[in-house]
Amino acid sequence: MGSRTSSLLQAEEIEQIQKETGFSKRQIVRLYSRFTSLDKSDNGCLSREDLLRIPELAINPLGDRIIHAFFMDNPESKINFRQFMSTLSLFRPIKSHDKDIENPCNSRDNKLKFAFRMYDLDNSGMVTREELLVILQMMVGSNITEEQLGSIADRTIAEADEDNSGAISYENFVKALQRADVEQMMSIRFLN
Amino acid sequence: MRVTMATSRQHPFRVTSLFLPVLAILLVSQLVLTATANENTTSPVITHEAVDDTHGDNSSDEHEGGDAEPHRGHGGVHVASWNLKYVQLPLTVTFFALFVGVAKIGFHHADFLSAIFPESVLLIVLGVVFGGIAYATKQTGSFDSQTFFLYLLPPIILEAAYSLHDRTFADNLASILIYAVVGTLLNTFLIGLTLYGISLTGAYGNSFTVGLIECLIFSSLISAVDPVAVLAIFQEIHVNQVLYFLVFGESLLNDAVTVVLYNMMNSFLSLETIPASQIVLGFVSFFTVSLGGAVIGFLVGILTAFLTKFTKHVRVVEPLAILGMAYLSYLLAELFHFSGIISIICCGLAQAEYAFDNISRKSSTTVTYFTKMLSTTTESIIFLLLGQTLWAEKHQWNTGFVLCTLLFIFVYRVFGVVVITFVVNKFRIGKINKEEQFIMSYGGLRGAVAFSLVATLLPEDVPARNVFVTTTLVVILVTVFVQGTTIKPLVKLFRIKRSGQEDPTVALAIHQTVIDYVMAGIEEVIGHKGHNYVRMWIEKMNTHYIKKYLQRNPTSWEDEVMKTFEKVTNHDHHNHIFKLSRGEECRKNSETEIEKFKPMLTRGDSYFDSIRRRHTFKKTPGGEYMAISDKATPADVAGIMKKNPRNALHEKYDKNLLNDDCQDLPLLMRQRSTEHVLAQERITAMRAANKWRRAVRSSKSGGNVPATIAEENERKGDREQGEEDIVFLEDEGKSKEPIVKIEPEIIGNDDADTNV
Repeated sequence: MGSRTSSLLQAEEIEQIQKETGFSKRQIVRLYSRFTSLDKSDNGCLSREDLLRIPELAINPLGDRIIHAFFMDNPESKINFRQFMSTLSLFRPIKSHDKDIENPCNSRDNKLKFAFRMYDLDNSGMVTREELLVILQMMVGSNITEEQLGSIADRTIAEADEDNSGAISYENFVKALQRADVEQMMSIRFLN
Repeated sequence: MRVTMATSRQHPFRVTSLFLPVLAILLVSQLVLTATANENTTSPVITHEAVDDTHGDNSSDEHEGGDAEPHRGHGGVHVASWNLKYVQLPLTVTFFALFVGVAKIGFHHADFLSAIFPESVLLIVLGVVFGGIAYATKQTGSFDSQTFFLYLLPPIILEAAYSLHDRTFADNLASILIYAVVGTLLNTFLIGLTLYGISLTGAYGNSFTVGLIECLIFSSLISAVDPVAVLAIFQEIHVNQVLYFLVFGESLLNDAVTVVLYNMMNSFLSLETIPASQIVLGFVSFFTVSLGGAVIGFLVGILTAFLTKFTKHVRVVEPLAILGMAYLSYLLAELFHFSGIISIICCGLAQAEYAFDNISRKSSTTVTYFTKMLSTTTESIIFLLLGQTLWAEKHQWNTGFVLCTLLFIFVYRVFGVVVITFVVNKFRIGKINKEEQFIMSYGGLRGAVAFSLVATLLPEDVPARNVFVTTTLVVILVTVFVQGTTIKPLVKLFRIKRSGQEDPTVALAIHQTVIDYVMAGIEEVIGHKGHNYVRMWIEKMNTHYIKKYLQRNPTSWEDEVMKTFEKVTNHDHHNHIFKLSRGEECRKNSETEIEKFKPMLTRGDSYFDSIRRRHTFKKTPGGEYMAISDKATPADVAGIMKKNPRNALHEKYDKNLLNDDCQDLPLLMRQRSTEHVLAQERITAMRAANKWRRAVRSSKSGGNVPATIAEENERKGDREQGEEDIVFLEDEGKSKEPIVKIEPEIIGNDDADTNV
């Protein structure tokens, strides 16, 4: 499988992706085979539908938003392999040589930005109470009342919101997660 | 509290006075021990070697014995009589436990000791003293392996198991298992073979030779890191969670390897030649011992959850069900020669996951407190007994063997950790760095488990037993004393990431879950089902299938968030009431003053809390005690808290159950009201001072403002007294009383002023 897909992938392209994302060559080849297997229409691009077809992602409460995040910078709702890889590169574990590079794609900041996007659906830079409520509702079952959920949302905003804007800005969000080990939490081991 | 402070200043030797009760109890319990020894029975804690000798004493005890049982012997009513025989066993145990308790109180107040030495070290020293007295009175107590494994160890492991119910542990389980299994195997064979190799060269002297199997028996028991010793030390140094669970988890889970290797080598002793089939059987028995223990533990844990599903109207049996079942799992596993430690860990984990949500809050508090009390006590008893055994065992010293063992356990520990970490790091996202590897190697303490195993060896089977016993004791003492004492400075030196006391926030709970879902989603996108995916899957199974049958009201993620939410809001609620009642009276004119007092009123350790501890007093070079300035900034307060050895020791693990006060609402209210009064007095005083200063400024025409307040005091006549108190408030350095007494007239004035 690997050899067939790698033949489709140009050597220069691999090198370029390698430079951009920091993935190793074998990782890129492996992910490319995944990319092509997801790409049912075989046109070198992934659409939302392609990703929605992944069965587990369909039942993930945040599945829609994760897919949405892939197409964030892309109005035509199509992403090619390079765009796909640049999103995935956020989740590469931080290695020692990453520190030499100026603003690596898998920095803590980028990881947090991705997480923030999960809340901030309209991309306004602020998470309002309504947006927070929506995401809470997605995650909880029926055991919890609307009212309780509302108070939890209020509390979350109150904890984070230092500038009294009634919403969580990205800076507030970063501060709320200050103590959390985001670098580790938001990293995946990519197979070679 | 103020009394303590005053005495602390007047009697710098308070510590000695605190030790007096300790000594008193020590002597009393020693007396009882002596008495019980004369009575010729073995207690569960102390066994007496000279059983045969004391048999003959029975006749001489006739007189006492007759007195002891008046109802059976000669007639007549006894107003009071000596009935030691009847109570001696529980009496000995009770005295011993109480003695341990008093000793702990003593250490707690002897900050200069507990700041340097871990408690386990102090207990061993105390044990040595204790044993010395026993030795001098010709009573030798010894360490009984059966008592250790059946009564002293289970509470500690159970308590540890409850603390393992933690996400960090689950996330690192794979690494921990590799360290526990591979690391222990590696160490056992390397140490055993090396010691045997050196024995062949004759380096231990001509008179002493050991066989290969003997060496392997010894290495199997000496190479395992000891959970009790590790727990005792690592609780106190509070390193980051990952490192803590790596070392501590390893020490717990290596038990199966130790048990199997030890039993295997013991059975090899009786064989002339060792057939390969035996080695294969040994390998198989590793799986039965570990997995058998795990399965028994898990099943009993599940059964507990099922049992507690029906205790809604019989709350009183809940703690019994939990604790009884946990002990049952240990005993059942031991019944089949499986690993009781692994069994009780699995049982505890299953209970924490399923059963704890079924029982009432009070029941779970009871379980937590009881296990904590029991484990702390038995842990202390273990160290005390270890110290005592120094006198009891028949020792045979062999310098070469002791030194080689000491050297190689350390060398191979480092070697094992480095090699395994190299492998494990390839699969980990959060790598274990060099400093952490060093602490992992250095934290490989040996303890009572090793000693109980070596003590059960029979001199007929193992001729070198006495050398092994001595060497094991030396190894334990060296690791606990040297490594245990120096590990804390080393952790600081290497700047190992510490765990802070983190208040849970609702936001964090939510963000964490969102991130978990995101990561599981991304793993699905890349088509590689990693640990995020597995976690999600397990959680789903847990919620949808298992919890449904085991829990009365199946809990899920939202309950977790609700719990955090309740906790946080409760906390806020308390703070809010406090602030409100304080704020209402002085809101009008003292917003700035509230700012000044903020450090005292912040969450957690309020300033007044710390004033009442004598640790806010510094000892000046001149020898007098000086209070730390009143104008403490939050950073100062934090610094004080850190410097206070007592807090440094008990911060993380809360072994002494200090921070659980908030469970006790009435106590909290009382505490708050006293704080409130203190704060109130202080604010009034400050206000008076400010007002007075303004008045002085305006009365003096322009530039003639007095340079110091002291000068002003001299000039002022009538209100002198009040001002002096205010001066003290500004500069508490020389004050004797932290509480300000204010002249009523000033307060009156002030109130009048605020009303205007």
